[in-house]
Amino acid sequence: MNNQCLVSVENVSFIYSKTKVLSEITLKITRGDFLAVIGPNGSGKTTLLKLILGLLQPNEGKIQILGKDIKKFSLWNKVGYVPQKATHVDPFFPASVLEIVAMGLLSSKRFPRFITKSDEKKIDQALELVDMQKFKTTRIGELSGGQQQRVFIARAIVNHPDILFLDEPTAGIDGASQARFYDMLDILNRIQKITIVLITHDIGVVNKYIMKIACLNQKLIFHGSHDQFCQSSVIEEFLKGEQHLICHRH
Amino acid sequence: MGIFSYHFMQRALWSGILLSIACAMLGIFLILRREAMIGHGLSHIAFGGVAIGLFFHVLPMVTSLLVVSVAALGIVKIKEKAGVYEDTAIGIFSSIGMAAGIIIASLAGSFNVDLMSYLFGNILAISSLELWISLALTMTIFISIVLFYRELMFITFDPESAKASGMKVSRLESLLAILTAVTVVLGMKIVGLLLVTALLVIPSAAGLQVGKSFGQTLLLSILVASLSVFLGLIFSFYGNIPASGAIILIASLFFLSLFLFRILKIKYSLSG
Ligand SMILES: Nc1ncnc2c1ncn2[C@@H]1O[C@H](COP(=O)(O)OP(=O)(O)OP(=O)(O)O)[C@@H](O)[C@H]1O
Ligand SMILES: [Mg+2]
Repeated sequence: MNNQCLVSVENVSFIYSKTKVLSEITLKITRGDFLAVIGPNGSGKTTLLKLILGLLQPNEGKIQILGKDIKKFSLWNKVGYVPQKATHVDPFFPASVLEIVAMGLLSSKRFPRFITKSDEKKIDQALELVDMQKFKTTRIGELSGGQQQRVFIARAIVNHPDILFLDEPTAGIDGASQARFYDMLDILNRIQKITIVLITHDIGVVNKYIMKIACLNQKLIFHGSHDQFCQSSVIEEFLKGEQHLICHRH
Repeated sequence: MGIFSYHFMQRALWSGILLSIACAMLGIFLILRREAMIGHGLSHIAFGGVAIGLFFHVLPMVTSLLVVSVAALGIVKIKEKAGVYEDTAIGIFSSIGMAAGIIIASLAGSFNVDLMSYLFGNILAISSLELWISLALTMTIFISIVLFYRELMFITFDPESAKASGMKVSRLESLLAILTAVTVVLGMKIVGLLLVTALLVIPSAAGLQVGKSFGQTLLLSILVASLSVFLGLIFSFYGNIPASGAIILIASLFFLSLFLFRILKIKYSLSG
């Protein structure tokens, strides 16, 4: 099962109305990867993720996920997704944490998708992993942004997915919580064997955990291991002096 | 309770409670999706549908169900495909429905009285057949919501994640639109087109004031809705006032009380 390709993006280009956002991207994500996708604002990171998840259709190229063309893909329970700005929650939405995490289970269930006692056990376990079991019956809108983000991660991992996509999950989360958050991702990756694709701007944090880096700016500027990244000359100009943040190993 | 020994009052009570439950179940989704006004728009379109039915001597319930369902799907599709805001799409469709209704109504002035009964409803004149139709339609809505409950909650809360979880978002949205269309048509005979919007919005808005979870909010809305019908009918009987008006005013009182309860609770917990 090692070295199995979970996601394959082949020659993909994407155009929003008139502007080309992504151009000829080719990228493979292998089982077990902890991949960081970095790049400036507007470089197409979120767009690439939406293409991989089938939320947008590419103008050119081919996308496969878990060995299937995205258009025919149906094993959604093997995929977890934490969207960008998940924290923009309607504060009056009347759903409890339990109900939010239960949404994550729906993709693994057949119609009619009722939640059973054994499902509640899975929800408890997911909430425990993100340390939110105390808030099970709290209304989602009554939690802080960071706590909400944890709930969305619980929702994304409640099915034990093969691959987890996170779009800037720590935006607006305090430093200490961020460190704990990345420790948690590390555990998910190494112990639960979940492949992780993380879009992030905290390149400082990237250093400690990340195995691979993809650098995006309309084109894929770099994709490879952390060490290769530090030896590469292409990215020196791209990171504008911040390279030492990533490449300085403790 | 002497008043419910009359058959017409029994029929009014049951058809009213069934309708209000259907409205409460749909209303919570519509409000949270910022589509509360879709009932309002569809009721205008239903007016056009009724006029068509009266004009061609076809059962108005049938023609309006047809017209309203098509319009409801049209609104969903226009929003999805053309990027028109939902309220704009509702505005366009409802104006067309209303305009067509007015023209057809004036072409043959003889049915104006009938048309009025659809605008204001007449819960006390519900026939047995109409009661059975309401029962069937309400059961359809009830079963659909129960079967698709979690999916509808998911697409309401976060449509994008729902789609990335393999939920058929656009199909579920169409389902919601069709169910709303059915409810509006069901409601026009009972509380009238002018007030069916109120039943779609007010009980759910009341439930939303205090519900701690989605399930709790839904149950509370249903409770408020059926209590409003029950009390409204009693007031209308003894006070000799129109039933539909009484029902809506009582629902509004429930909303106001629960709203004040929430505000006072916040204030109290701040000072205490
Ligand atoms: N809905 C849209 N319509 C038109 N253009 C869009 C839309 N969404 C994004 N874009 C454009 O596509 C480009 C890439 O956007 P994208 O959201 O993928 O960037 P990003 O790398 O995720 O940025 P950020 O770091 O700010 O999240 C941007 O230039 C943006 O202007
Ligand atoms: Mg982004």
